[in-house]
Amino acid sequence: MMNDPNDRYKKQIIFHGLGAEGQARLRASSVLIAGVGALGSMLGHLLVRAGVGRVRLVDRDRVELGNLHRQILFDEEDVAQNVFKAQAAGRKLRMTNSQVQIQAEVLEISQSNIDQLMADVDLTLDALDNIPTRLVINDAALRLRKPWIHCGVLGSRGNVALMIPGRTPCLRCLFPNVQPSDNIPWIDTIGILGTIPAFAATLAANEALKFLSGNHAALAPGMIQFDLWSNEFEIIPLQGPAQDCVCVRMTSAV
Amino acid sequence: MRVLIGSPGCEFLAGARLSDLVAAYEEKLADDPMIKTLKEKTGKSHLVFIVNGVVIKPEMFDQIRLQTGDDVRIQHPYFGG
Repeated sequence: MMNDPNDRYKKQIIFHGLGAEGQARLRASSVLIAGVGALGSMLGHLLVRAGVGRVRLVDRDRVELGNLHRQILFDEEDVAQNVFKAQAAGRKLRMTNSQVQIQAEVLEISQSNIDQLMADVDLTLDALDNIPTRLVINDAALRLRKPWIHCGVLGSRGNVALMIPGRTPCLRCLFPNVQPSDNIPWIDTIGILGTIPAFAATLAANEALKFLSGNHAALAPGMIQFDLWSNEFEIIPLQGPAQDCVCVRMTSAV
Repeated sequence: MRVLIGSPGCEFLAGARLSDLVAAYEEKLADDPMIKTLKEKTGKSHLVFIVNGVVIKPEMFDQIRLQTGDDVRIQHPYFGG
């Protein structure tokens, strides 16, 4: 006997902020999850279960044993099989929710492919592990005028910020002195608790659900920043783009 | 009666500049393992100072005088995933 497909979502449809209309909007929406490591695994897990209609997963790496303490879509069999993260994640997410269209792509995000990856989705979620590729997404978002959610973690800390070109600061506004050359193997150098990307991705997925369902008034009014080891949580209020940032010129050009 | 809601704030002498706050904060975090590592690896802490919702670039730190009621936030860089 087939269940009503909406049975799957009935508990979240009851939630006042979403309702049947919000659920329908989620089903009609699409996201790119850029990177399928710790952040990307949790984002995929939450957004596919929530019923986002189409989810594109992009990652170039294979699953390793050192990933398993925090990358929740992978297991020891994936390590033994030496599978690509995007493929393993895609397979598990299809088993989780067959109503969602999953597009799993094994490739390295770059200047040459980012526009194509972002152009046909409603929202991009940054689940990357480095600065240069985040800047690639930032600049593509400005060119395409596409919203995205920055999400980054380190140690016991993390931050999450929705970026809407022309309305909110961009990554270059928020970190004006960060250069691609500042890139270091962040987590290999400083470490990470498994709880941190799970928490950050939950916050990012929550913002994504608000955004995609049309609940824009409920969005966090700034960058969310936390340190779960020292029990700190704040939302940093932010005005619009920095007036001398390149994003102002890019988004005001006709 | 003064009721504190959220951050208790911090006292600075009248005429203090943002650079004074930055120096005090960086000194407070001098032994923070993450900040120490970032300084060793990249030569800077990557801390970002935001005053009343506006990101302030380092070259402006010495030009901004703090005012009573200013809302100063410190944003840390987390670029792992």
